[in-house]
Amino acid sequence: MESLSPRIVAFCCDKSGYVAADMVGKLGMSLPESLEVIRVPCAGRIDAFHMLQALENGADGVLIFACHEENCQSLSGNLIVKARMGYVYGMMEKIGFERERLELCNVATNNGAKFAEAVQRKYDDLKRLGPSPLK
Amino acid sequence: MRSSEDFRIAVFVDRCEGTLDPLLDEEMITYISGLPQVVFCDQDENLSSPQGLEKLTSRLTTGQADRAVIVGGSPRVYEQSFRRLNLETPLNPYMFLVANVREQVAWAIHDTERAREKAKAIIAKTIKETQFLSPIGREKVEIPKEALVIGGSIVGIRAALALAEANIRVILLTRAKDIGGKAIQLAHFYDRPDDVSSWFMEQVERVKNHPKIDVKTSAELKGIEGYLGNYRVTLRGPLGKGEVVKGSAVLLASGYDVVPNTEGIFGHRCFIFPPQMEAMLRDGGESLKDEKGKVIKTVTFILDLVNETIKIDSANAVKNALLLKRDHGCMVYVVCRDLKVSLDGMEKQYREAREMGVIFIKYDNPPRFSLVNGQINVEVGEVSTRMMGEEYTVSILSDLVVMSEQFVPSRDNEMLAHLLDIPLPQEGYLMDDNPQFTQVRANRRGVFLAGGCRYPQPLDEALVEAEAAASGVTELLSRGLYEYDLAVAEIDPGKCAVCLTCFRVCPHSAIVVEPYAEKNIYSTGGYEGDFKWRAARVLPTQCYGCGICVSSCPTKAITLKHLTDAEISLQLGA
Repeated sequence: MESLSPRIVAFCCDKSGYVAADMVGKLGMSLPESLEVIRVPCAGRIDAFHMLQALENGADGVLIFACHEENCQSLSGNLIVKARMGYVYGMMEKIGFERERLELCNVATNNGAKFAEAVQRKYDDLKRLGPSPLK
Repeated sequence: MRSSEDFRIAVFVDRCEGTLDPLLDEEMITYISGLPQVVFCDQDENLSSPQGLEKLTSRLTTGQADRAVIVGGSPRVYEQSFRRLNLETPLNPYMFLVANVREQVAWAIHDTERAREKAKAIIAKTIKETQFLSPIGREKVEIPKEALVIGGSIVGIRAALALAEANIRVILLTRAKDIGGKAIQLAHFYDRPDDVSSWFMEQVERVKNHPKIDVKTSAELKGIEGYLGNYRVTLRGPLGKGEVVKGSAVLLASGYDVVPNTEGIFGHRCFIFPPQMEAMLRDGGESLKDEKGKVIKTVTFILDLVNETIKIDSANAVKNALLLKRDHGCMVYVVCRDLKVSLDGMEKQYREAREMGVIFIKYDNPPRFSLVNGQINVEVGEVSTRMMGEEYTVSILSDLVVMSEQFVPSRDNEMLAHLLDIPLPQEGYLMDDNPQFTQVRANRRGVFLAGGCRYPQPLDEALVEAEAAASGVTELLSRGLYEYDLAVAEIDPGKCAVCLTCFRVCPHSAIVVEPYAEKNIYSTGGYEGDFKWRAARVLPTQCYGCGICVSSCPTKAITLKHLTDAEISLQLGA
């Protein structure tokens, strides 16, 4: 039954993504229960190591919720994580992970619906893609 | 890491006024109480209320627990309430963790059974995570009540006065020979008939005679260094000897530059710029005369050829059009792409101008100018006629054409951005930390921006901004004490390779490289005595705790105290 419920790790910037995640509940929308939200002070805090570790520990997909570009509270945190993701994509390719398993999503604090949609879309994508090659 | 056996965890369940009842039933409470290291599990109807928090505090005073987990809503809710109440908890505020089972579980997972499973998993993980908590203290530093204002324009003057009134010593630095700026060119305020120059002179006098303000003219900046509470500005002095002035905070009010275009036909005497127009209105009598003594009957304002996104020209044109029409009986045309009326009270003025007979013409293609019998013929395609199938060209024969000067970022901006290490976007205006939340603050704590160095704006708005920046400085300095959480990044100097990666990525310029390390990764020993290695150091007063440096450090020498790598790894299920 594993493949029916893909595990998604969502790193959420405290300034935007986490607030949007909270908003999903307030709007009465739904999140898959296999979603794991990890709160970070800024998307730039997320190390390449953490992205890979999430995949290593059995996540089928990793989503990073950062602020919109040019609206980062730490000026360039969202750009730094984007650059870092480029590096991780290269590694993932070598290891044999599909590129779709890692994605950056820019949200604002009031984008609860966008958050829920992004998670749902990833959920469906991963379902189609099948479980992580590590499983 | 200590063995997790020694911990005593208190769990507080917030029922959120009954909304979490289906989730947090008896079985769940039993489950939580049964988790390892949990000493007790309390319940409350509304934990984020003052009463709830007081109850929580009194329950913790017994000292049974050394860390606590709150099960309930979003951590942001509790953090805000804690901060608002300024509650003295027996436990360090960083010894709390929040398991968010409301927004992201109870409200977002609609199947109760699944939600319960999810909540259990989250609670268990949060309780496990408490092993990484460590108390984080608060520190205080004394900061002298002194501020530096750079720029002697009206914005700087207003900010300096506002600061001085708040009992802060101000050093006002300006490169010019005297304080002043572009405001002196204005004859009238846009929304009231008061004379600007007498008001302006009064402000200048007040600044010069204020006991708390020290004005330094002809001051060329050479360097700025330091941090909140200790900014040092070196001035270029005679014979290379630089004077150093100190301040706890820096307020930049350096203004913008203007470039008038006088090429080709625009060099003709009939073309003037707003400052000349203002001067004519201030000095001219009943009827305006040009250089040759001819009475001026028709005036045309040309807007939006330059500065299309800036509203200063629109405000001045409407203001002067009204004056010309009312006091001097001129025929006035305003030729514009789009008139900007977003200024306070501007719409009323625009309406008044139209009612009085000022003619506004909108164009899409730039107007053409030609010289006819010593007058200027302005040919412009009227946009509003286009609906009828064809565009009609309007010719205005005018005695005077008021062009706009182009506003460009001051050439000082580049130097200031470089000296203060604050970002300079492509347009060349200094950037605030965040356009929505912190408008007058630069990304560096203790550096504020106001007026034309941020963006050219009309006098009234610039003055409001000056006051906003001044109140930002006052907020920081008024207590003479800066209190901050040590929830910041910390560098282990022994691991630092001085690669300067953190120094470059830090968005708040909070990292310095200083010789303070006993050893570093290159050291082989043999250096005894006072010798210290250079290593990067985070200035806790400047750090915002974003953690970008932590994940960028190639030697993993940096830890973020409130969210360590181990904590993230545990959340990832390692």
